[in-house]
Amino acid sequence: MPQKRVLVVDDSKVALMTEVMILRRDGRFDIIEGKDGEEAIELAVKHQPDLILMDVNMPVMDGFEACRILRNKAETKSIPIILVTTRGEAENIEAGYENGCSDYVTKPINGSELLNKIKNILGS
Amino acid sequence: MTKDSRNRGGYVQQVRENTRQYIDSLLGEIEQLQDRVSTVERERDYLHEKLDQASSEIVKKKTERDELSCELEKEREQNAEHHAMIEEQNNNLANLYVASYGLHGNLATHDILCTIKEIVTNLVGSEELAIFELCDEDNELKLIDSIGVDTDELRTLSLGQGFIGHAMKTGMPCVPNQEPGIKALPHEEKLTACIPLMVSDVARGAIAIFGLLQQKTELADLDFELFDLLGSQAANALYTAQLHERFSEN
Repeated sequence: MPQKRVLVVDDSKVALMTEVMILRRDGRFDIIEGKDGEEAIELAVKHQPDLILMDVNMPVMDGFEACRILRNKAETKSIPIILVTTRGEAENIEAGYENGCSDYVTKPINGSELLNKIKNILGS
Repeated sequence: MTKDSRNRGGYVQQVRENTRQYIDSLLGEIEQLQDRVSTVERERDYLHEKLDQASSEIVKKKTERDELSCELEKEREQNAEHHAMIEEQNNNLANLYVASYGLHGNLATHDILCTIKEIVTNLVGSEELAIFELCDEDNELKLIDSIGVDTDELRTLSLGQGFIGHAMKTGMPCVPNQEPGIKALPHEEKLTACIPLMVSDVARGAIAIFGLLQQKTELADLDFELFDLLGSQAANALYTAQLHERFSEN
Protein backbone atom coordinates (compact mmCIF):
# COMPACT_ATOMS: atom_id res chain seq x y z
CA MET A 1 0.00 0.00 0.00
CA PRO A 2 1.49 3.41 -0.93
CA GLN A 3 2.38 5.64 2.02
CA LYS A 4 0.12 8.57 2.74
CA ARG A 5 1.82 11.89 3.33
CA VAL A 6 0.81 13.64 6.56
CA LEU A 7 1.81 17.15 7.58
CA VAL A 8 2.03 17.42 11.39
CA VAL A 9 2.09 20.95 12.82
CA ASP A 10 2.60 21.83 16.48
CA ASP A 11 4.70 24.46 18.23
CA SER A 12 5.21 22.19 21.24
CA LYS A 13 8.17 19.87 20.70
CA VAL A 14 6.69 17.36 23.15
CA ALA A 15 3.32 17.32 21.37
CA LEU A 16 4.91 17.21 17.91
CA MET A 17 7.15 14.29 18.88
CA THR A 18 4.22 12.44 20.45
CA GLU A 19 2.07 12.86 17.33
CA VAL A 20 4.91 11.91 14.99
CA MET A 21 5.68 8.79 17.05
CA ILE A 22 2.06 7.66 16.91
CA LEU A 23 2.06 7.98 13.12
CA ARG A 24 5.54 6.47 12.66
CA ARG A 25 4.60 3.39 14.69
CA ASP A 26 1.72 2.74 12.34
CA GLY A 27 4.27 2.62 9.51
CA ARG A 28 1.95 3.81 6.76
CA PHE A 29 2.71 7.49 6.80
CA ASP A 30 5.32 9.70 5.26
CA ILE A 31 5.57 12.59 7.75
CA ILE A 32 6.42 16.24 7.27
CA GLU A 33 6.77 18.46 10.35
CA GLY A 34 5.90 22.11 10.86
CA LYS A 35 5.87 24.40 13.91
CA ASP A 36 3.24 27.09 13.24
CA GLY A 37 0.31 28.00 10.99
CA GLU A 38 2.34 30.02 8.52
CA GLU A 39 4.80 27.17 8.00
CA ALA A 40 1.86 24.77 7.68
CA ILE A 41 0.51 26.72 4.68
CA GLU A 42 3.92 26.89 3.04
CA LEU A 43 4.57 23.15 3.54
CA ALA A 44 1.06 22.17 2.44
CA VAL A 45 1.40 24.07 -0.85
CA LYS A 46 4.88 22.67 -1.45
CA HIS A 47 4.32 19.01 -0.48
CA GLN A 48 0.59 18.51 -1.13
CA PRO A 49 0.04 16.15 1.85
CA ASP A 50 -2.90 13.74 1.96
CA LEU A 51 -3.82 15.06 5.41
CA ILE A 52 -2.84 17.82 7.83
CA LEU A 53 -2.77 17.28 11.61
CA MET A 54 -2.49 20.71 13.21
CA ASP A 55 -2.52 22.19 16.70
CA VAL A 56 -4.88 25.10 17.39
CA ASN A 57 -2.80 27.20 19.79
CA MET A 58 0.40 28.20 18.02
CA PRO A 59 2.51 31.34 17.75
CA VAL A 60 2.79 33.37 14.51
CA MET A 61 -0.49 31.98 13.14
CA ASP A 62 -2.93 29.78 15.03
CA GLY A 63 -4.56 26.62 13.72
CA PHE A 64 -7.96 28.21 13.04
CA GLU A 65 -6.52 30.93 10.82
CA ALA A 66 -4.21 28.50 9.01
CA CYS A 67 -7.18 26.19 8.46
CA ARG A 68 -9.25 29.03 6.96
CA ILE A 69 -6.44 30.10 4.63
CA LEU A 70 -5.77 26.50 3.52
CA ARG A 71 -9.47 26.10 2.70
CA ASN A 72 -9.40 29.22 0.53
CA LYS A 73 -6.35 28.24 -1.49
CA ALA A 74 -6.98 26.32 -4.69
CA GLU A 75 -3.92 24.07 -4.14
CA THR A 76 -4.88 23.08 -0.58
CA LYS A 77 -8.66 23.45 -0.30
CA SER A 78 -9.38 19.73 -0.59
CA ILE A 79 -6.72 18.51 1.89
CA PRO A 80 -8.44 17.10 5.01
CA ILE A 81 -7.41 18.83 8.24
CA ILE A 82 -7.59 17.37 11.75
CA LEU A 83 -7.22 20.00 14.46
CA VAL A 84 -5.58 19.17 17.77
CA THR A 85 -6.91 21.17 20.68
CA THR A 86 -6.48 21.34 24.43
CA ARG A 87 -9.95 22.84 24.72
CA GLY A 88 -12.68 20.27 24.23
CA GLU A 89 -15.54 22.75 24.77
CA ALA A 90 -18.31 22.71 22.17
CA GLU A 91 -17.73 26.32 21.05
CA ASN A 92 -14.06 25.62 20.41
CA ILE A 93 -14.89 22.56 18.33
CA GLU A 94 -17.57 24.48 16.43
CA ALA A 95 -14.99 27.18 15.69
CA GLY A 96 -12.78 24.48 14.19
CA TYR A 97 -15.51 23.23 11.88
CA GLU A 98 -16.47 26.80 10.94
CA ASN A 99 -12.89 27.36 9.85
CA GLY A 100 -13.00 24.25 7.68
CA CYS A 101 -11.46 21.40 9.68
CA SER A 102 -12.55 17.86 8.82
CA ASP A 103 -12.25 16.50 12.36
CA TYR A 104 -10.53 17.24 15.66
CA VAL A 105 -8.80 15.46 18.53
CA THR A 106 -8.28 16.71 22.07
CA LYS A 107 -5.15 16.61 24.21
CA PRO A 108 -3.83 14.49 25.78
CA ILE A 109 -3.86 12.63 22.49
CA ASN A 110 -5.10 9.05 22.47
CA GLY A 111 -3.04 7.22 19.82
CA SER A 112 -5.76 4.76 18.79
CA GLU A 113 -8.38 7.50 18.52
CA LEU A 114 -6.07 9.62 16.37
CA LEU A 115 -5.21 6.72 14.04
CA ASN A 116 -8.89 5.77 13.70
CA LYS A 117 -9.80 9.31 12.72
CA ILE A 118 -6.97 9.47 10.19
CA LYS A 119 -7.97 6.09 8.74
CA ASN A 120 -11.62 7.17 8.55
CA ILE A 121 -10.60 10.16 6.49
CA LEU A 122 -7.93 8.52 4.32
CA GLY A 123 -9.53 5.08 4.14
CA SER A 124 -7.95 2.14 5.93
CA MET B 1 -70.23 -90.74 -25.69
CA THR B 2 -70.37 -88.72 -28.92
CA LYS B 3 -67.38 -87.31 -30.72
CA ASP B 4 -68.48 -83.73 -29.88
CA SER B 5 -68.75 -84.40 -26.18
CA ARG B 6 -65.29 -86.05 -26.18
CA ASN B 7 -63.79 -82.95 -27.85
CA ARG B 8 -65.49 -80.58 -25.32
CA GLY B 9 -64.10 -82.68 -22.43
CA GLY B 10 -60.53 -82.37 -23.86
CA TYR B 11 -60.95 -78.61 -24.27
CA VAL B 12 -62.08 -78.12 -20.69
CA GLN B 13 -59.17 -80.24 -19.56
CA GLN B 14 -56.84 -78.03 -21.60
CA VAL B 15 -58.31 -74.79 -20.16
CA ARG B 16 -58.00 -76.20 -16.65
CA GLU B 17 -54.36 -77.13 -17.27
CA ASN B 18 -53.61 -73.66 -18.72
CA THR B 19 -55.36 -71.93 -15.80
CA ARG B 20 -53.43 -74.07 -13.33
CA GLN B 21 -50.14 -73.21 -15.01
CA TYR B 22 -51.12 -69.53 -15.10
CA ILE B 23 -52.04 -69.59 -11.41
CA ASP B 24 -48.76 -71.36 -10.62
CA SER B 25 -46.79 -68.72 -12.52
CA LEU B 26 -48.75 -65.94 -10.76
CA LEU B 27 -48.05 -67.54 -7.39
CA GLY B 28 -44.36 -67.78 -8.32
CA GLU B 29 -44.29 -64.09 -9.29
CA ILE B 30 -46.12 -63.17 -6.07
CA GLU B 31 -43.53 -65.08 -4.11
CA GLN B 32 -40.72 -63.31 -5.94
CA LEU B 33 -42.38 -59.96 -5.42
CA GLN B 34 -42.83 -60.70 -1.72
CA ASP B 35 -39.13 -61.55 -1.54
CA ARG B 36 -38.27 -58.26 -3.26
CA VAL B 37 -40.62 -56.34 -0.97
CA SER B 38 -38.96 -57.80 2.10
CA THR B 39 -35.52 -57.03 0.63
CA VAL B 40 -36.59 -53.43 -0.09
CA GLU B 41 -38.07 -53.15 3.39
CA ARG B 42 -34.82 -54.39 4.91
CA GLU B 43 -32.89 -51.91 2.79
CA ARG B 44 -35.31 -49.14 3.81
CA ASP B 45 -34.86 -49.98 7.49
CA TYR B 46 -31.09 -50.02 7.01
CA LEU B 47 -31.18 -46.68 5.21
CA HIS B 48 -33.47 -45.22 7.90
CA GLU B 49 -30.99 -46.34 10.50
CA LYS B 50 -28.13 -44.80 8.48
CA LEU B 51 -30.13 -41.59 8.04
CA ASP B 52 -30.79 -41.38 11.78
CA GLN B 53 -27.08 -41.91 12.43
CA ALA B 54 -26.18 -39.25 9.85
CA SER B 55 -28.76 -36.84 11.32
CA SER B 56 -27.39 -37.22 14.82
CA GLU B 57 -23.87 -36.83 13.40
CA ILE B 58 -24.99 -33.58 11.70
CA VAL B 59 -26.53 -32.33 14.96
CA LYS B 60 -23.34 -33.25 16.81
CA LYS B 61 -21.16 -31.54 14.18
CA LYS B 62 -23.41 -28.46 14.25
CA THR B 63 -23.07 -28.26 18.01
CA GLU B 64 -19.31 -28.65 17.68
CA ARG B 65 -19.23 -25.96 14.99
CA ASP B 66 -21.29 -23.60 17.17
CA GLU B 67 -18.99 -24.26 20.12
CA LEU B 68 -15.92 -23.63 17.93
CA SER B 69 -17.50 -20.43 16.57
CA CYS B 70 -18.09 -19.26 20.14
CA GLU B 71 -14.51 -20.11 21.07
CA LEU B 72 -13.23 -18.34 17.96
CA GLU B 73 -15.30 -15.27 18.73
CA LYS B 74 -14.03 -15.29 22.32
CA GLU B 75 -10.48 -15.69 21.02
CA ARG B 76 -11.02 -12.79 18.61
CA GLU B 77 -12.32 -10.58 21.42
CA GLN B 78 -9.38 -11.54 23.63
CA ASN B 79 -6.97 -10.79 20.80
CA ALA B 80 -8.63 -7.42 20.18
CA GLU B 81 -8.40 -6.61 23.91
CA HIS B 82 -4.81 -7.78 23.98
CA HIS B 83 -4.01 -5.71 20.91
CA ALA B 84 -5.66 -2.62 22.45
CA MET B 85 -3.74 -3.19 25.69
CA ILE B 86 -0.41 -3.51 23.84
CA GLU B 87 -1.29 -0.45 21.79
CA GLU B 88 -1.99 1.50 24.99
CA GLN B 89 1.26 0.28 26.56
CA ASN B 90 3.14 1.34 23.42
CA ASN B 91 1.50 4.75 23.57
CA ASN B 92 2.38 5.07 27.23
CA LEU B 93 5.98 4.05 26.62
CA ALA B 94 6.17 6.47 23.70
CA ASN B 95 4.85 9.27 25.92
CA LEU B 96 7.37 8.46 28.65
CA TYR B 97 10.14 8.38 26.05
CA VAL B 98 9.05 11.74 24.63
CA ALA B 99 8.94 13.24 28.13
CA SER B 100 12.34 11.88 29.08
CA TYR B 101 13.88 12.88 25.74
CA GLY B 102 12.44 16.39 26.07
CA LEU B 103 13.82 16.88 29.58
CA HIS B 104 17.31 15.70 28.76
CA GLY B 105 17.61 17.43 25.41
CA ASN B 106 18.20 20.84 27.03
CA LEU B 107 20.77 22.50 29.23
CA ALA B 108 18.95 25.80 29.75
CA THR B 109 16.65 26.18 32.77
CA HIS B 110 14.10 28.13 30.72
CA ASP B 111 13.89 25.36 28.08
CA ILE B 112 13.51 22.66 30.71
CA LEU B 113 10.72 24.62 32.41
CA CYS B 114 9.02 24.93 29.00
CA THR B 115 9.38 21.18 28.47
CA ILE B 116 7.86 20.47 31.92
CA LYS B 117 4.88 22.70 31.03
CA GLU B 118 4.54 20.99 27.64
CA ILE B 119 4.60 17.56 29.28
CA VAL B 120 1.92 18.53 31.78
CA THR B 121 -0.23 20.20 29.11
CA ASN B 122 0.13 17.66 26.32
CA LEU B 123 0.66 14.37 28.11
CA VAL B 124 -1.05 14.79 31.50
CA GLY B 125 -3.73 17.21 30.31
CA SER B 126 -3.68 20.33 32.47
CA GLU B 127 -3.18 23.98 31.68
CA GLU B 128 -3.05 25.05 35.31
CA LEU B 129 0.29 24.34 36.91
CA ALA B 130 2.96 25.91 39.04
CA ILE B 131 6.64 24.99 39.35
CA PHE B 132 8.39 25.80 42.62
CA GLU B 133 11.97 25.84 43.77
CA LEU B 134 13.02 25.29 47.37
CA CYS B 135 14.68 28.21 49.13
CA ASP B 136 16.79 26.48 51.75
CA GLU B 137 17.43 29.56 53.84
CA ASP B 138 13.73 30.50 54.23
CA ASN B 139 12.38 26.96 54.22
CA GLU B 140 9.79 27.93 51.64
CA LEU B 141 8.89 27.23 48.06
CA LYS B 142 9.37 30.00 45.53
CA LEU B 143 7.30 30.06 42.31
CA ILE B 144 9.62 29.92 39.29
CA ASP B 145 7.16 29.28 36.46
CA SER B 146 3.44 28.69 35.92
CA ILE B 147 0.51 28.54 33.51
CA GLY B 148 -3.11 29.47 34.22
CA VAL B 149 -2.80 30.05 37.98
CA ASP B 150 -2.97 33.06 40.32
CA THR B 151 0.74 33.82 40.69
CA ASP B 152 0.20 36.27 43.55
CA GLU B 153 -1.38 33.56 45.66
CA LEU B 154 1.40 31.09 44.87
CA ARG B 155 4.47 33.36 44.82
CA THR B 156 5.90 31.84 48.01
CA LEU B 157 4.58 28.90 50.04
CA SER B 158 5.65 27.97 53.54
CA LEU B 159 6.56 24.35 53.95
CA GLY B 160 5.12 21.90 56.39
CA GLN B 161 1.36 21.82 55.88
CA GLY B 162 -1.15 20.86 53.22
CA PHE B 163 -0.71 18.52 50.27
CA ILE B 164 2.29 20.35 48.83
CA GLY B 165 4.02 20.28 52.22
CA HIS B 166 3.19 16.56 52.53
CA ALA B 167 4.69 15.82 49.09
CA MET B 168 7.84 17.76 49.98
CA LYS B 169 8.14 15.93 53.29
CA THR B 170 7.57 12.39 51.96
CA GLY B 171 9.30 12.86 48.61
CA MET B 172 6.36 11.10 46.93
CA PRO B 173 3.78 12.50 44.51
CA CYS B 174 0.67 13.52 46.43
CA VAL B 175 -2.83 13.27 44.97
CA PRO B 176 -5.37 15.00 47.28
CA ASN B 177 -8.24 12.57 46.65
CA GLN B 178 -5.97 9.73 47.78
CA GLU B 179 -4.97 11.49 51.02
CA PRO B 180 -8.16 11.90 53.05
CA GLY B 181 -6.23 12.67 56.23
CA ILE B 182 -4.67 15.88 54.94
CA LYS B 183 -6.48 19.21 55.03
CA ALA B 184 -6.19 21.37 51.92
CA LEU B 185 -4.73 24.85 52.38
CA PRO B 186 -6.64 27.72 50.69
CA HIS B 187 -4.33 27.73 47.64
CA GLU B 188 -4.72 23.94 47.30
CA GLU B 189 -8.50 23.86 46.79
CA LYS B 190 -8.16 22.99 43.10
CA LEU B 191 -4.98 20.92 43.43
CA THR B 192 -5.01 17.65 41.42
CA ALA B 193 -1.47 16.49 42.21
CA CYS B 194 1.81 17.70 43.65
CA ILE B 195 5.07 16.16 42.45
CA PRO B 196 8.17 16.78 44.53
CA LEU B 197 11.29 17.38 42.43
CA MET B 198 13.84 14.97 43.91
CA VAL B 199 17.61 15.20 43.54
CA SER B 200 19.60 12.57 45.47
CA ASP B 201 16.55 11.76 47.62
CA VAL B 202 16.11 15.38 48.64
CA ALA B 203 13.08 17.42 47.53
CA ARG B 204 14.43 20.54 45.85
CA GLY B 205 11.17 21.85 44.46
CA ALA B 206 7.72 20.81 43.34
CA ILE B 207 5.30 20.81 40.45
CA ALA B 208 1.72 21.54 41.47
CA ILE B 209 -0.95 20.56 38.96
CA PHE B 210 -4.34 22.18 39.54
CA GLY B 211 -7.40 21.78 37.25
CA LEU B 212 -7.36 19.18 34.47
CA LEU B 213 -8.55 19.92 30.94
CA GLN B 214 -12.34 19.68 30.52
CA GLN B 215 -12.16 16.44 28.52
CA LYS B 216 -9.84 14.80 31.07
CA THR B 217 -12.05 13.55 33.87
CA GLU B 218 -9.50 11.77 36.05
CA LEU B 219 -5.86 10.79 36.33
CA ALA B 220 -4.84 7.61 34.47
CA ASP B 221 -2.10 5.06 35.25
CA LEU B 222 0.21 6.76 32.75
CA ASP B 223 -0.11 10.04 34.67
CA PHE B 224 1.38 8.43 37.77
CA GLU B 225 4.26 7.09 35.63
CA LEU B 226 4.75 10.59 34.28
CA PHE B 227 4.70 12.00 37.83
CA ASP B 228 7.48 9.59 38.82
CA LEU B 229 9.44 10.52 35.71
CA LEU B 230 8.97 14.26 36.30
CA GLY B 231 9.84 13.88 39.98
CA SER B 232 13.24 12.39 39.21
CA GLN B 233 14.23 13.39 35.67
CA ALA B 234 12.80 16.93 35.59
CA ALA B 235 14.45 17.60 38.93
CA ASN B 236 17.81 16.31 37.73
CA ALA B 237 17.52 18.17 34.43
CA LEU B 238 16.76 21.44 36.27
CA TYR B 239 19.57 20.87 38.76
CA THR B 240 22.06 20.08 35.96
CA ALA B 241 20.96 23.14 33.99
CA GLN B 242 21.40 25.38 37.04
CA LEU B 243 24.88 23.94 37.66
CA HIS B 244 25.73 24.40 33.97
CA GLU B 245 24.51 28.01 34.04
CA ARG B 246 26.52 28.76 37.21
CA PHE B 247 29.58 27.12 35.66
CA SER B 248 29.12 29.09 32.41
CA GLU B 249 28.80 32.39 34.37
CA ASN B 250 32.11 31.72 36.09
